[in-house]
Amino acid sequence: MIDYLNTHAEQIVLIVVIFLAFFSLLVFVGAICSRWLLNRSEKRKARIRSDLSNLVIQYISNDITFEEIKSELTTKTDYAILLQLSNELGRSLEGEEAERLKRLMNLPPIRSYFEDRFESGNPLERAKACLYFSKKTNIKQTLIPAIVKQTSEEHPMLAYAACMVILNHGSDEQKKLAIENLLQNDGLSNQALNDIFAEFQANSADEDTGGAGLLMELIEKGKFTDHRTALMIRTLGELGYFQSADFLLEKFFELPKTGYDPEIATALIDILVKFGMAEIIDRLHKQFVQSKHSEVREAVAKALGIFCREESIPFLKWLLVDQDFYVRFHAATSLSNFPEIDLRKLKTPDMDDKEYSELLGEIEASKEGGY
Amino acid sequence: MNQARILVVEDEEMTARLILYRLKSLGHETRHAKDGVEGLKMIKEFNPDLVVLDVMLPGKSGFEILQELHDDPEFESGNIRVIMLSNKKSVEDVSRGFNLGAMEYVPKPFKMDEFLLRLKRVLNQ
Repeated sequence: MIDYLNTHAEQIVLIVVIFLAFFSLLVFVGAICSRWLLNRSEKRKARIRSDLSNLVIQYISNDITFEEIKSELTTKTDYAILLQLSNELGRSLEGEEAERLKRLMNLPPIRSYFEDRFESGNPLERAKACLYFSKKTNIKQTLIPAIVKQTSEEHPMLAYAACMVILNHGSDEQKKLAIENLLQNDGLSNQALNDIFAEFQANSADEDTGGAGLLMELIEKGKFTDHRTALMIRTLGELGYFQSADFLLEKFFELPKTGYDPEIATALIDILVKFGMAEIIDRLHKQFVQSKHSEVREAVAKALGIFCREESIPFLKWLLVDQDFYVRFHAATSLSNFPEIDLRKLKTPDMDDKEYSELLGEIEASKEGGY
Repeated sequence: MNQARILVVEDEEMTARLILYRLKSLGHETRHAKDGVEGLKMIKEFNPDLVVLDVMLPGKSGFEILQELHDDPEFESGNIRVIMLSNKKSVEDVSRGFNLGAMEYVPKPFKMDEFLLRLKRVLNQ
């Protein structure tokens, strides 16, 4: 064997080199081909998108008729791209143009294309179908129970899109169930949930039993994570549900002295300040100003500056020497709201000269910028 | 003003395309910037009569662009008319836009005809 290897060593090396060269060439050609195919498909999609967007724009501007655009829509790929374009435009338009867009998306072949997609095993395809249904004025009522089920799917995009359909076409009970399911989906972003609540608010005929009532009911149930509960509290404030102020005040006073969740406490402070509930000031002074959580102290520093009560000045001075920069910054900003306070005189010897002057500069700049 | 130089600073492609299409069909000379940084650069280079400026932009917000133009001593920001376009509808945002020199604030979603009417009014001021 050794003799054989010694005799044929050169040929063996040559064969190995040729094999490796051939293999590398194959990989190289494969990579180029797949890149080329990918580019071709991307270019094709971009071309279809560009052609379609020109058509849609001409159609909604009344420069071409419904029949003309209908005759241009031929392949199934067009429909998925058309839905994208329609969603993009739908966010910005209302009135006559929005109605024309709706009429276009109601074409029978487009409708059956998305109804087929809803039966797909791929959650993303089902999500696309749900997004389509959510934009429609009417959908088959037989589809609704199956769509409600999709709201408890793990895939966040699918759960979100299904919930949007239910908010537009479901009963009050189905809407509640869909939102509850969504709140348990950890993959869903806060922004997506905010959109859901805004949509729910837009679709609620009665404000009291609508958005605010549902959110308070869900918070009261207490079965969601602290993160989600804090988000619901903030949503009550962001959507301007002033009727929830007393409920939130109750929740604020129910917070234990220790061991509370900082996210919930911060949300309660921020929103109660927004609602102008000065009843919280005393507890802010007595307890939360010394919270072990910097985000809570930061919220207190901001809140005291908004209420701007004279009795808060010593507490804000205390926060001005906090270990956390943002707490110090907001305490200083709040103190600058009191006309009798000269921030330059408040600097204590243990404060860093450079940092303090930078902090004052930042406050001045933020006030000039109107932030 | 029959034919104006109009710059549309808008990151939502379809909205921008629709506005540009309608403005072109009215005979205006148009340009488009997709983000705040490009928008600020084009305002200085193109020197438009009117800017349709979205508030939420990648890179720099519409408010930041107006603030920078206002603070730039070499730029005559008073010569440019601005219409702001935004999903933000709060009183604070609207008043901030007007304080920075915008002449109109159009909330999204909007009706195209109404938008064009406001644009015409601003151009004629």
